[in-house]
Amino acid sequence: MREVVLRLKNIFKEFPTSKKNKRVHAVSDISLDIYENETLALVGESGCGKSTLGKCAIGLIHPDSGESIFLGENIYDKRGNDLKNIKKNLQIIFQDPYASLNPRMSVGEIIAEPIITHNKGLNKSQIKERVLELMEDVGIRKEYYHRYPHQFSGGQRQRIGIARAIALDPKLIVCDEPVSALDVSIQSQVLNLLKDIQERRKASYLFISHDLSVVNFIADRVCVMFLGKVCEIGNTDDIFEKPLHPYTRLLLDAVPSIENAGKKREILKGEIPSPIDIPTGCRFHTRCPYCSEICITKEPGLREVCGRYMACHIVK
Amino acid sequence: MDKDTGQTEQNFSSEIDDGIDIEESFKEKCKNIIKQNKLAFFSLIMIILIILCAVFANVICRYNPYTQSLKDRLLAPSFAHPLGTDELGRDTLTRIIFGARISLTIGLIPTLISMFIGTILGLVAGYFGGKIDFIIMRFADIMLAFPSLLLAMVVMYTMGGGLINIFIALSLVNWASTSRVVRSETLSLSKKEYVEAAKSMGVGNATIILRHILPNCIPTLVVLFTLSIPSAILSESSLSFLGVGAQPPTASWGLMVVSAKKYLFTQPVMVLAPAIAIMTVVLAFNFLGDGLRDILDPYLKER
Amino acid sequence: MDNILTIRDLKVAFQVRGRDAYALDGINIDIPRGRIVGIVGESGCGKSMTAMSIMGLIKKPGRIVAGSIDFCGRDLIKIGTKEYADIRGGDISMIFQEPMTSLNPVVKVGKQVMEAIILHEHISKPEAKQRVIEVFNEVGIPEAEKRFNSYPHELSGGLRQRVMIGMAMICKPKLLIADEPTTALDVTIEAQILRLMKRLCEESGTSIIMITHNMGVVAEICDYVYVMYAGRVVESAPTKALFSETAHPYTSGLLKSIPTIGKRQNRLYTIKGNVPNILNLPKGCRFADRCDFAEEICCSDRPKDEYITDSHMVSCFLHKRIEDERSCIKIKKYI
Repeated sequence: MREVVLRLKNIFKEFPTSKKNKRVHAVSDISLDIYENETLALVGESGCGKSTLGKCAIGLIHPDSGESIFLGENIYDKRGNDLKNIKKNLQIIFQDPYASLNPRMSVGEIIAEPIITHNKGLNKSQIKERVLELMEDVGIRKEYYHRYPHQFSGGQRQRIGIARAIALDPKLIVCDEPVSALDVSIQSQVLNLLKDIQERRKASYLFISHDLSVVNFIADRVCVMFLGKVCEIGNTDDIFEKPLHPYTRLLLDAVPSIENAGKKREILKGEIPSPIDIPTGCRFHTRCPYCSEICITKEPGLREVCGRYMACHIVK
Repeated sequence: MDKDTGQTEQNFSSEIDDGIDIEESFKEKCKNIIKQNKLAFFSLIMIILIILCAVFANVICRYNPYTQSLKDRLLAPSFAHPLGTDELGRDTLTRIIFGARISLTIGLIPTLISMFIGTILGLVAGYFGGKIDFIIMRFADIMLAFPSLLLAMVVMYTMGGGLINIFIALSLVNWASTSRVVRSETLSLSKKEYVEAAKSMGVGNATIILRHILPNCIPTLVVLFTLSIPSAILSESSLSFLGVGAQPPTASWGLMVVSAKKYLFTQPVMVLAPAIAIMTVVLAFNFLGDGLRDILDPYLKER
Repeated sequence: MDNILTIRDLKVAFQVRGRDAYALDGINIDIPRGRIVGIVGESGCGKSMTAMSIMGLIKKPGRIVAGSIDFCGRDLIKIGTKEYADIRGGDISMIFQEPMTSLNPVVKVGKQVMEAIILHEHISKPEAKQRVIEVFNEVGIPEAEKRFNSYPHELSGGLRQRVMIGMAMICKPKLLIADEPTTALDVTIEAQILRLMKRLCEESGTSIIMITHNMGVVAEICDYVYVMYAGRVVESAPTKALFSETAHPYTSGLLKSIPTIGKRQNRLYTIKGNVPNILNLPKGCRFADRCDFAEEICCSDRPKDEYITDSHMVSCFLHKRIEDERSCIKIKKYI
């Protein structure tokens, strides 16, 4: 069995709203394991809590309860230098390549920041050498060392963000929708780059995306989320070939694609329920075509079916 | 610009997307900025001229601003005295040029001090939030609730007139508005993803504030600075006019207006000259501030 | 043919630092009656600019330099502002990517839609309200009467987009321009909206211009597709033909670079380089510097529009050779 890099245990996170007594249930009791050198994708529609979970995983947001265990240690308990040493191994790549780079720092400074923060002993030329190596790794020309972010296109900026994230050789990188702001032809370049880097550096990715075709390409395992809960989690091939949970099935069916154009498809009815007023029982029951009485009253737990985990009363 | 290198590099670098290479030369950039902000550019030249005049007042002026000459009192504008003389026979033009020194120092120094205090408090309040934020901001609210001129007058009365005291009074009054602006800027900046990225790397709070937040506040601060200068100059003039600011015989524009007001109808040039001087400087700084806002803002929006 | 809109040799230029930068450089587009026509391309290819030209909404540094936009026998470039205002919202209407920005946040949605209809058809208020509720039902807004009194922020993204579509459809326009209408929506909601648009097109005979970057959306609902690149149409074909007989290297590159569901790929095909900036366009074929097949002629001359079949146009010097090569590869596979 492969080693677990990060184990999330019973993560709960709610956000207050402007109204009293009403809270946004972003993540409700989610436990996940991320293994070394694998890509686990979190998929779901807006408001399902995938981004919140990703940020909880690396401690950018502290959950209301739950643990995030990195190599045997709960990161939420750590302070000071211990925390700094853990953070070195947990990095993040953001969606918006425009907002994620400080416009007043040059590319060299941006990529050097993590190195300087964690290696106090290095001198200037050593740091520059490391930065140039990283720039080469992600495909940014060395001549651009002194340029500023606004002189780059979206795709290149995302490469700079990737270089910054891999600068400390982290064990886990959370990729928060890293390609959804990019053009199609640039998207494939960045996806290939992410895959290359994983092969070379043996990092794990927690890949957050709403785009199922991208997930199918990059992920080893997929976790489908709906309203702060896990619906189904398993190997990518299994889930994309034979989705079991009705939500996964309908989600896959809804993606407009060239191959399935014109085919009769089952379309998911209704809107996504608000994460403030969560339906009772199974959270998906208001939209589920197979909803029965038990679904309305009792919340299904995750159980193992055909080598994967799934939460549904109906599907056997 | 980079097309040739793109073809010589092979393998995976063929995947590199070329940068947006509409690099214009620095000269061209300046030309464009000036073209689009003629008024601001004109104001800048004006301000530089006034500053030069103030610095080299000794060289330019034929007369001493303090030497009285009763036989020359209340002279009409002439070739020897382009703006006439005042009731003590001092050359008005000379006094206006020397007065620029006072007005500019009063415009610059208290503004700098108050901006410095306000920026630090604003950064701290905005970044850390919670109780610190609450305390600082309520304090600022109290300062803002008070009419600033009245507050300055109170300070001046208790401590007495004089330049240093004007500095202190005006600095005390003005920091609150700066701190509010900086705080709101800090709030929005600290939600930016690059700040989150820095946090996830384990960068310390002080470094985040100094490296990621403060530099991005600077355009706002520059604009705020240029726009605060005229209000400081006006406050000084008002305080001097009310008799609690600069004391005679100092050549201050506000003071000159006061002493000339008796002669408003007999020798209007005596009042008009310092008044126009105040107006020119205030307008020039305002136009420059507006222009700077236009120049710096789109750059930031473009990200 | 029965075309509702014919664009011929349309050129739109922007004055940037004293130079003309062409956002649209001689495009030809035909919109047949009662069909959905897709315009696909990456950011900055001019697809939104095309929509803005049709709506007469090109803002100041930009201007239409040449060409004609013929709508039902009238050249939209030559008509006056007042006449244009009548056509806009009446015969031609538009929906945008983010419905929140095009709805007034402090006015009830029902009222906003009502205003649209009262402006163009002189009917009484109760009648107008009745029509609005009918339209709301038609576009699948549940509890239409209750929703009439909702404010935009009280509705979900999908419902807001339905309101926008209702507003656009209420005057029974001849042409509906949809600028990335589903990009901001979740996939399950996107599927609902696409189905709704297809139904409306079939039922009311309205032609729809679907502007999108998503090939899946095109495949799903469009009858005919224009592929744009850097201000030019590089290929246009009936949807099926575009996917089965792709002729332009850009189109095929784009199609190959999208990951497909249910197919294990180790690497994705990539189009090298970056989308060109309209200030800095290559001479000749604009795709030349990113094209795998480019030859000397591609870098020096502009390719002409060539028709492979009656309805399939491609603007490429080498499409014949590329096609031959492809069929060779296909044959080799069979051997």
